[in-house]
Amino acid sequence: MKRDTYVPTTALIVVLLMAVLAMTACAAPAAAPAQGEETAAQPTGSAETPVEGGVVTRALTTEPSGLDPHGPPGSGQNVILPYIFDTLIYLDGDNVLHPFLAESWEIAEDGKTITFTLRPDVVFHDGTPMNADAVVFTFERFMELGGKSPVAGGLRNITSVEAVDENTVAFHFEEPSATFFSTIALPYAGIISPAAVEQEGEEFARQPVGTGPFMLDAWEPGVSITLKRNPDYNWGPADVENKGAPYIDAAAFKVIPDASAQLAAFQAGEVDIIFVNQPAHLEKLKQDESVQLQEMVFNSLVYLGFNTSRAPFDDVNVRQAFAHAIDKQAIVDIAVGGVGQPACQFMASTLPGYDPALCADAPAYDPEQAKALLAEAGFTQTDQGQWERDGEILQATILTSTRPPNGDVATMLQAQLAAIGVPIEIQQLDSRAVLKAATEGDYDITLWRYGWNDPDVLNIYLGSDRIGRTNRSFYSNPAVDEIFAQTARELDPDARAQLYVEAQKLLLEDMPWIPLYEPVNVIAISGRVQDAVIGPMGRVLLNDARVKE
Amino acid sequence: MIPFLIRRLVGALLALVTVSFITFLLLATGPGDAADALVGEFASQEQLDEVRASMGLDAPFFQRYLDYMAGAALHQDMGDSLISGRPVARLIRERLPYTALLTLSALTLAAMLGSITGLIAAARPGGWLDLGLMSLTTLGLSVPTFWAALLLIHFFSLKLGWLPVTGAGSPAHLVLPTLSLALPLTAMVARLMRASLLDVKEADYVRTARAKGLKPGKVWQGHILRNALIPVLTMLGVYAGRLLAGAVVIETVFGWPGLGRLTVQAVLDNDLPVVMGAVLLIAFLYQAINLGVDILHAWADPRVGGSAL
Repeated sequence: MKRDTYVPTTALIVVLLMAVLAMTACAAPAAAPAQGEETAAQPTGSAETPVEGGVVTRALTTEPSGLDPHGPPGSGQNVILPYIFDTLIYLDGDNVLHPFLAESWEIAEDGKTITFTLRPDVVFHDGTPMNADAVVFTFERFMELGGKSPVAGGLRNITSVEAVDENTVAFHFEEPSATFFSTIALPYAGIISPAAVEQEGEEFARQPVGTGPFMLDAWEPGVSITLKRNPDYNWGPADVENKGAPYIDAAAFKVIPDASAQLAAFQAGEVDIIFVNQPAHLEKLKQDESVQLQEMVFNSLVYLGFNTSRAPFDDVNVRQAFAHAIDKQAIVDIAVGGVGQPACQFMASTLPGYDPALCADAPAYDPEQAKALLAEAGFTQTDQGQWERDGEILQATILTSTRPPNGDVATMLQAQLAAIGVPIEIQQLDSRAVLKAATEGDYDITLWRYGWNDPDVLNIYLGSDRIGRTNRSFYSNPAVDEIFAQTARELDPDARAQLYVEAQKLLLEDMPWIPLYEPVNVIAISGRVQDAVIGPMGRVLLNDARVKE
Repeated sequence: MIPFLIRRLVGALLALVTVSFITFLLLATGPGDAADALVGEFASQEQLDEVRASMGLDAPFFQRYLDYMAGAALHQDMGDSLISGRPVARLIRERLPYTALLTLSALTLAAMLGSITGLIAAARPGGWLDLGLMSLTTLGLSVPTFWAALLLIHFFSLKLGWLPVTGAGSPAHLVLPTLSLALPLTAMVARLMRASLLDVKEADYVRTARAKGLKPGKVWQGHILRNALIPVLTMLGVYAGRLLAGAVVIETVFGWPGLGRLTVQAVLDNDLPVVMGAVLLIAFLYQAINLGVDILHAWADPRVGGSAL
């Protein structure tokens, strides 16, 4: 009996629902990203490059706020910058320099002038020529906006940038600068079109114009950024075989903040390239044989850094004792899921200044030795197995970020230090809060990670002139500072590397950090994409890429 | 009615001011600020101070708050994003339609599906259909939305390949986020609808209606349904605001470019003007919806009247 009455109601509801959905669907802003629409081959300037078409899509965790190389570095624009902008030189994964927009360069006898000869045939996406004036414009703007850039420090010693002639640029320095080359190879140092900056002003960050293999096609806020191939491209970097225009039509970047959703989108074929940072996701991807899993080089090291200004970690015996108490292999095997290498020195193995011979002197896992060192430091073991000195129990808090696998690593460290009788607490905060507390010296020990493209990273984190800024260990050793000062002026790569080896010998004695492991980062590339090239610092070069449909 | 309206409006305004103050306070006193986010890990203290001063972040807290509120209230100027430099009003305009679309379709779906489920369950209380449906609603209420979202992705996108995992732009992109967002609300509406129907079914005026010989159909349409819908409508009004909150999670999982995602990213970047703009807008919508519901309620149910509110 009730049936007759609510059938009309239901029908009404369904009609209403459809009406509302239709209305809301009409109100839906904008259309889908134009994927696969650019099928027709464009007439190209470089006839020798076959256009094979297709789109390669990469997942982005964070949408960049802008694509101006000199803009605020906060969010993922460095992933996209290398596709749109080229740099003067190219630093490959083994940290070797190659010509890029500069054909060659010359260092003056005193090291205070470096002169680059530019390729004569390079044009920006807007058709204007890439010449000495553009390079001067780029670097003057870079240094002016430098306060907002993470790498401005690498350009600090520049006194002027001079256009000698159409294709020659000279950089003048106050004193020789060894970090200059790694700095100008960063995506943030990409050469920009002066004409475009002049014309667009503030909007340049939304309409970037460079000389790269791809140029901006469409930007849908919050959804995707699509780049199309630059048909005139003819100056590819050292790591790729195809120096001309890319074979694919477009490279798209899809914003997917959630890691699980990225994995799902990858498995559903919606994106072709994702960054994998969770062991469980890696296991899942390994089951699919068509997926290409590639290791990336970030020159990274995970370490346990002491606050050497705070007792008892101002005592080198305590720091060495901790170093002997830690079983790095177990941490890598269990907490990191085997995806990494135990580290025995401060320099990442991919950076100059790494020397396998140093590992012989590194503290080995030896709990008995650790206890002996604590006794040497004046601690006595209580009946409960804890260590006491002047009525104070030896204990500490490990401060680290919430980012995986830091929690698991800290838990392993807690267990290993408890085994020698040192109780440990773990404090996990978001990255920025950790950095702030550490910079102010408000911590005992921090579990942290660096990734940098120059051995100068040790100076950044451990040079005493950086105390209160990036030297969060408050470590100060004049002998080490003296070596760092020499490295900054040493332009010969071999001599510079040797200086870092010497610095590391001193650091291993002082042990301001305990190097734990070198993380391995994996990128997954779909089976339909062939010949994507893994470049330095996590870049995926698509110059050679082809799409198999 | 007029004094009631005035009182409600003043209350709503006070709520907005409180929300703005607390949000500002939390952002200003939390660790780091937008200058940290801008200059990155390697900047010197001098560089940091310079950037901070250029953004006006070095001024005292109350002065910054008053400046912000004066700009927003007197000049309708929400300021520019500290990170991208783009006007906050424009950022919000880009994102609001997506969130509105998502929450409206979820609200519609939940209202329709929930009411029908409640009706079916209430038709034979205690029957197997009722039991089955009510167990399902318990499940719907207790499953976290992000997990339901991942399950839906797994089933509809990966196993069946029917629907896209992430993004926006076509109606197909809307289906899974809407389902995930509507799930708990659907369950709640169903339970409330059922309870409300059972209440009203036993009410005196229903018995009177039946006694005077009204056809069962007329009794349902004219008396039971209409009266049972009042509490459901009230709750929907309140929950429309909560859907905005749920959308934050759903938008992140599905890469839906709405207001929630904008807010989350802005919080991570300590981008104060963007967070303030988004939070104030959501608070305003919440207040507006609640006020609307209250007015409707007072108008629809004379017993409630102005005084009761």
